Amino acid sequence: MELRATRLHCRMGTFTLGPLDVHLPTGASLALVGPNGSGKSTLLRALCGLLPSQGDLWLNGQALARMGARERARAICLLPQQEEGGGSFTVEDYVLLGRHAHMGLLEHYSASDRAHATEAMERTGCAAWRARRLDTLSGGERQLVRLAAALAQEARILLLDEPGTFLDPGQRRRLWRRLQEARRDKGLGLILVTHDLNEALEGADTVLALDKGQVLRQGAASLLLEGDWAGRLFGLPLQAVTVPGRARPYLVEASGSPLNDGRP
Amino acid sequence: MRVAPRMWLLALGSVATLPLALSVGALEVDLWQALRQPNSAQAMLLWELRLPRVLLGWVAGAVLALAGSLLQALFRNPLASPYTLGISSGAALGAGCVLAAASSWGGAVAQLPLGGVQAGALVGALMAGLLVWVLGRGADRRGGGGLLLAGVALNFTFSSLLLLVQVLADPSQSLRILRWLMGGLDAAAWGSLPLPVGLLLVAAPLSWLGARQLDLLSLGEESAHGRGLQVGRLTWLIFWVSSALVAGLVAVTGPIGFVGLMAPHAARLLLGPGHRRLIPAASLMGAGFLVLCDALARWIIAPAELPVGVITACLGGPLFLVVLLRGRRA
Repeated sequence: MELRATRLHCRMGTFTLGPLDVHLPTGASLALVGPNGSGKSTLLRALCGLLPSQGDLWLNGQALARMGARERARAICLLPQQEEGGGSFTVEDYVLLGRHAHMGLLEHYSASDRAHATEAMERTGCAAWRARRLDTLSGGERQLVRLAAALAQEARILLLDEPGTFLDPGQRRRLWRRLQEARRDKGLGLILVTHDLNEALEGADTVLALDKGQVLRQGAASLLLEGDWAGRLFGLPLQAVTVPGRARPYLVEASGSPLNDGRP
Repeated sequence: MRVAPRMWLLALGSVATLPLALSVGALEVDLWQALRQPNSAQAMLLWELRLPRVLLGWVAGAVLALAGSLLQALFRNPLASPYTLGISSGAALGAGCVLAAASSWGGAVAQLPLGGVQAGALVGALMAGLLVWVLGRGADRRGGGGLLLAGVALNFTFSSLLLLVQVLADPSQSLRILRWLMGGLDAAAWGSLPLPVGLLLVAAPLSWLGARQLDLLSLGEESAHGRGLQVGRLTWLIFWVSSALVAGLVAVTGPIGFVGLMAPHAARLLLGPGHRRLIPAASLMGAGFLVLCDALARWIIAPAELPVGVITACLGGPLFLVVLLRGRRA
């Protein structure tokens, strides 16, 4: 499914996002980068219709605003950074809730819904905890369960708000790999907010850098390696290094240069 | 124990409180005798006084627990109760105004029809509902956060206005208002049943059928929206269904505390958070609990009786703590 937003514009109190254009071809992935408060999460929310916004937002040529709630959820799904409730649900019941968009209003879960949930749990490696309560899991395990629920929902585009937060490097890596597998096997489109520029380099086709609600740069992910704009954006001098045996260069903090945090 | 047997036990226990409560009171009724001799005084007592009262208690408990479950799901707040949104204090203000005004109507005080107080309560509740809805929506268009704030704020306002009414009313009416505020089933008659029963018959199946939507809502508004729930529409529906439940019940029984707060918690600890089980379980628990409390209220200082609200609070508080502490340990 293709996502296209033109002149997307939204205002929250004193903060203004856009107007900006976003294009995500079918099965592509886009990384949103930028300092805290630059509007990444706001953009993610606007893209799935959670925030009132102006401008046009199309999914496969269909206006998002005209879609019904469940039709929208079959197309696009947001995984917020944190969730308020749901801790006392079991993993299985929680993942099953992802099937809502595919069910009639008064229907109960069918065998097919359960099969989809099981497949999603197996794919993300959380089938073994299916009977455990969500609040007995670690942060990383819970994140995998939330991904399973999003996969069970079978939305064509996933919006992920810093999915790797609270995860240790190993968990982060596993979550990342599951995401890429799902993307490859199911042709999912991904838009993800990340603070890890190397993650963006590695996993995203394109990158969109935001600063104070405006687009700073937009283009192929390798754009991050060009010039020193990325370093200036975060106030941290960065340098691309090549690691033997790795196709892509890595961004690391440049040695010997001072932190640009506005202090002398 | 598996879930299904627990539910059956709960249903059985809840219904079993009915015959128990029927025989208890200032006069003990031998149920068997009353059934065999339909013209006896015992039968009269059973059919005209005891039965409608016990049934009203059962239905009232179920209504309160159902409203509590709905509002706890809406606000994702375990402290939400049927009385959080100020609907009942609006009803109380309405009822209080009618009771206070009755004294200025002269000799009609003693003969004041029950219907007058009920109508006052319903009008008060409706006004409160509209006010909470309009103000709450102004603060927060889609979610329940604005409703909660507006409800809590108006709750205080209505309560203080009621205090004012009580101060200005003459002492005997003031006492009647106070007595009404304690809530009770002592005015129960066959005529008081249709409204709460009708509300329960509409709202309980509706809530059960919308169990998945309630589950989704309890995840948080963003997640619910992401999964395809129309959060705004569901918020509207829950607000007005629970308000109708509370208004209709409080008009008949006055505000009976604690049942609507405690029953959903206890049911959740026993059967988990899924509303497909929680809705019937909480309703059955609330129903049985209130019937038992009312039986106790009639028996403990017989032949006089306590307002049932006193018993629900006295029993409910400690019971609630036990349930919570045990749940935490498990």
